[in-house]
Amino acid sequence: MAFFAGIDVGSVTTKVVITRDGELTVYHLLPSGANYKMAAQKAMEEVLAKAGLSLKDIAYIVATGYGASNADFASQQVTDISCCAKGVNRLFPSVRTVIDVGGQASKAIRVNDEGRITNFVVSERCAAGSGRFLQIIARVLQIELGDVGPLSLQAKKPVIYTTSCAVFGESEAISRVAEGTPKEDILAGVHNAMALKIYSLVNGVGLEEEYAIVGGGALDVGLIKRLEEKLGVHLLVPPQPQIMAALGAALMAEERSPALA
Amino acid sequence: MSEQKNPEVTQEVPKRTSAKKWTESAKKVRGLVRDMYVRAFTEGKPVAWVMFTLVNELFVAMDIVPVYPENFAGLCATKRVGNPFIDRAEADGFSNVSCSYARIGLGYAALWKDMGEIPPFAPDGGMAKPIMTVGSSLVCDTRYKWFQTYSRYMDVPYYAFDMPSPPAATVYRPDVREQYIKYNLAQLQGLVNFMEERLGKKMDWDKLDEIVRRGEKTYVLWYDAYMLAGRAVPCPFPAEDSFNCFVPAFFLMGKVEALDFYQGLYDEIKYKVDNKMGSIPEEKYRLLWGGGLPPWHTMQIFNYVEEQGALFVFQSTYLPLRPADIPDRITNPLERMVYGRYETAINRAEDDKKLGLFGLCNFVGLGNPLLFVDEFKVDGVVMHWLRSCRGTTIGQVYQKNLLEERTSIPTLFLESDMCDIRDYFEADWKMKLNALFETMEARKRAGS
Repeated sequence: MAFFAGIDVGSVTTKVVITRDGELTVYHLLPSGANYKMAAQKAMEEVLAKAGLSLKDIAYIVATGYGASNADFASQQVTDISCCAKGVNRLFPSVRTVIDVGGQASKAIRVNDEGRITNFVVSERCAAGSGRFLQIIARVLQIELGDVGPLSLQAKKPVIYTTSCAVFGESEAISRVAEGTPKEDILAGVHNAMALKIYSLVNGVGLEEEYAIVGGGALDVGLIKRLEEKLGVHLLVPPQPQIMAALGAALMAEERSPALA
Repeated sequence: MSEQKNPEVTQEVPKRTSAKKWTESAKKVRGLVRDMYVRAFTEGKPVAWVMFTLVNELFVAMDIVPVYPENFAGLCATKRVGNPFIDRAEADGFSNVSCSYARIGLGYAALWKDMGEIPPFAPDGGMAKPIMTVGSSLVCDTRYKWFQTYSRYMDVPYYAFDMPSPPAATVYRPDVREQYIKYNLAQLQGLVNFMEERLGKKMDWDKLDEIVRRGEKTYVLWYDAYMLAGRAVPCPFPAEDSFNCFVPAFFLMGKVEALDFYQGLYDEIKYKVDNKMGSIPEEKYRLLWGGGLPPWHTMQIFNYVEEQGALFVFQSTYLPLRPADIPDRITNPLERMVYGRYETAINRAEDDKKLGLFGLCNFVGLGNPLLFVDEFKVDGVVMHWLRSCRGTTIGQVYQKNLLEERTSIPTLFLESDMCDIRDYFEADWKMKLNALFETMEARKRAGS
């Protein structure tokens, strides 16, 4: 039985998934860095090594993400919006609204029962609703990105951000640090500001149950809490939320492969 | 005018940014544009830098060559030489969110002043030195100060011309109509007085009458050609051609060239429609450009869309409103101009009533995408959020919501600017367009 691969060359992380008969076999992540072509190549080599396979064992590869064109070994490119929808549908068939919080942009996606997109909204070119905002604030507060969520949950009095801009948000975070505001309150304020941005995206595609959150932002429990409060819904989170687009790409590779036609 | 250079134009650009032209008419526009700039240098007539205000006929009648910095900015963007002008304007303190049409023209004027000559990289030889500048209130508020600032850079007199849009909610009230016509007649007469004073000669009213009536015929041909093309399946005249072909209507109105151009355009479209001649082999998806100015810096994106089997069959940005029937009893050409403008607003109100939106939209230049979705068999709508054009961006979310409430087709927002290439991110555009195609495909499969 053939193997298939999906590779998501994202602005922050490159993710690659290998599937066989619709089931995830192995996956791998690495930072995209400044050379997407090299990241794509390396991610593919490393996932193949993990799986004990070689490139010729992969029947069909679909690439996705902002850097998809750099995966020149792929057979086809599909948008990460469609791939995300497909990947989430595989794990949560009842989900109709997917929120993808990536490093470069956030997206709200409406999905039908076949895992196809019926509507979507992508955030404008503004970092305030994306993972980039979290990275900026984590750097200001000198904490690891992985600590942002748990710390935020401890907030007693979240600050209210007077701006929804990541650049001014950074200045505001610095001002709050200078005033002696606890880090957890600053982080909870950032999460509230992001939740507001993402809420407007979700409204743009229309609210329909059930809901899932994916992308690097889905690793942040603080953001999830604030988003759930804002939307008034429960968000399903896949076990590896960052690889949903890569998984969807691999599933599409299975669908589109001439080998199975 | 003797101090000006007689330019030999044509500056090669390293990379083609403009879209393929599908009609012979669209191919002619580039030559008409080049002639506009060259003639301003070579004809020996006085030149005015003018904001587009639907009054080109007055300049033609007075033998003034109107030069439109708005068009020049689009030309600079297409040639990818706009940003040095933008940088210069911003160095003078103009905000990077102020209109990029304005920033290019202001940077051009500032650089001319700095260098003591027309900036050598200005396309088509640049804009000839004016004897006056004319700003207006039509569409957006930038247009007064923008042209007043030119007058300071170029040290020439400035005229501020007010041309408010007819009010949407009260357009049927006789007292509003009377007041509107009276006010606009006074404004037009004021502009004529300014020209007469500046040139030291009187308006030839018979000549103006002839020019205005020619303009009326031109307008009808323009409208008929555009509507004929939008309805046609397959469509022989996609949006990128339509974005070129509005140029004579805006900037040469009243001239014989404009009338001939639209007669030619109408005839060409009619022939192609009658013979079922489309643009691309198969219109897998028919798209509507539903708002926002086009990305002049990268019009080739339309060809990318076509490579995916989709075609923008219509654009509702540069759109003639349904023409008015102007009775012969109105013999004053200024009154004919104002009457026509008011009556097209009535036509707009009639369309809005059909949609149940009467009185809600006061933006005369923007066609409501809802009007065209069914009639033109549209599968998806794309709108362009422009960082530096509030006038054509405002209202887009409202229109998107209307489309989603009343139709089953998807709407996509693309984000950049009409001229400032710094706001354009091609990978983002292609990703969003591809996702739109995938959405339309899913909807077609689902039978919605």
